[in-house]
Amino acid sequence: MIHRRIVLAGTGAAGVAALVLALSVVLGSTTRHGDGQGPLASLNESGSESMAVDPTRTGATSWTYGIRLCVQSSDVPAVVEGVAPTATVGDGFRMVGLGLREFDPSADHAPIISVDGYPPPRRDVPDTPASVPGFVVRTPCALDPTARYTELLVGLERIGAAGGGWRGLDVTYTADGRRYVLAIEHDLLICGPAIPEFCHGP
Amino acid sequence: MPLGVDARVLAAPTHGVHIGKGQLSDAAGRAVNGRVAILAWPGETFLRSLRDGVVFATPTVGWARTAADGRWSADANPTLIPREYVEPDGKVNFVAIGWTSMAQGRWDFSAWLGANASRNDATDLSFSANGKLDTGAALLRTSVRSTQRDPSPELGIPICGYGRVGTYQVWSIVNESWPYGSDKGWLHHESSHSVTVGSAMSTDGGLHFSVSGSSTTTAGVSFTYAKSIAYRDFRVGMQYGKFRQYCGGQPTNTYSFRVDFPNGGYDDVGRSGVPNWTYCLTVSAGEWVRNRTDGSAWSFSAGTKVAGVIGIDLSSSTNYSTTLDLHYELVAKGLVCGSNAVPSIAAKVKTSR
Repeated sequence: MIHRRIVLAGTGAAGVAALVLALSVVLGSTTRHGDGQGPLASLNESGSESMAVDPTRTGATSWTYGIRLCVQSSDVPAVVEGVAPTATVGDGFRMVGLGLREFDPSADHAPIISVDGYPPPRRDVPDTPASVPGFVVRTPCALDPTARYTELLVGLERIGAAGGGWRGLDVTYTADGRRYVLAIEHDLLICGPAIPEFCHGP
Repeated sequence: MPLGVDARVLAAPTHGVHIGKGQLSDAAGRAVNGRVAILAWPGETFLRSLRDGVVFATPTVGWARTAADGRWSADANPTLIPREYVEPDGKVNFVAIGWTSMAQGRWDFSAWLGANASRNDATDLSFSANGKLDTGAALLRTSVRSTQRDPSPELGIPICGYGRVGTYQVWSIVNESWPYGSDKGWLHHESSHSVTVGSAMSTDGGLHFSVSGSSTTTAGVSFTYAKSIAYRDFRVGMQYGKFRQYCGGQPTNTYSFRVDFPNGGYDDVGRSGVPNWTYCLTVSAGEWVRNRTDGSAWSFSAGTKVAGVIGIDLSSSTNYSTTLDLHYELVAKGLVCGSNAVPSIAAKVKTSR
């Protein structure tokens, strides 16, 4: 939920800054940034990753992909508005669900890269995913594997032999009164002729 | 002042491109107060055209005093760096020579000029002045075939440079794969991919070598290794050179053993002993690709296999990038595990169940 109330706080430079901030939200200006360059992050550094699930090996028709979300500072939580692909490839897939979960990782309750099925099996994702719009990400970016973890879950279903999927994700959110789009270079793919560079390697 | 350092450059503070910082210590690891001079060393492009027996200059391009705790931060004056020593991406090989009133030491490193110079503080350039100070008093000042300008005669400084006295074809490891069971791993790299490999020096005429930092070159060959279920490392071929220092036209007992350029070779070699990495994430059957991260470099302290030549292996390291990616094909649901963080940003990765 975007906070749209204009607060004329103080005078002088601080007041002007507050007004500019508020107007930027009201007028819809949005800052797009890469991973590690804004309040919300995923790897929290510049980078990219791809996962192409193989229908011929799994027998599944849908999959759940997991992507970490975290904040640079726990003092600046991020309120997620929505998630969309940066770009798509192929027409043999459709998006069947989005969710977010926050949990304390352990040996039998771990983050995922991908699992068969959407909704994800309870044995892999025992949490009930929360709705994306309005979800507040508060977990700080950490390398500690036991640190509390927020994970975006994206469900894709195979609807044609071509396969394909998402080339990157755009996460729209607000933090500290500003609106941002976090661009995550993480491909969520289903093997098929649409992505010949995957699943048919050397 | 150590032999090879140009006193004229030390006459005034250096202003230019910040190329790095570190701490100078003594042989026991205690911080010491002294000075650090920065010398330029030619890169891959120049060294490909260097004929054996020709002495090239290693001009002094900057210097700094250490603080009381041994810390130093140095600039290089780009106008003193021969244009042909600068690689197309702006990277330059440097030699830091640190000294006190009694001792001196050396550390090889690479840094950027230009747009990438902001990355120059990413590597700690701490080293020790653990050898006897050699001012070269015994050397007569004579001429030497060199690209360096002739110093003023009144300074009485022998001009120093290096000449290649031997070449060696060696392997440097650039990554590794540890697929579980019937899973498969492989690697792809472009010829332009940047690889940092270790160097060594000797001050006793080449009898004993010790690690003296690293320098950066390229993979030298674009190649996609075949998929394999084997535990293995991936290697690229390098030509190393043994360089001898010449001052005033006379050879000294100082040798530098460091990479010349990649020779275009590639290979993979089996490994054993599965590492126990526990930063694991669940993954379904399919192909997982680690494309690029800027933070965690792959590195191996003994990744450049030169022990047969100088008695010790040297390091190798590289970043995941748009020109190097690691692939795993999982035949069934499993785990992808990182060595020091979650797989997407870890230095090393394996698959597991």
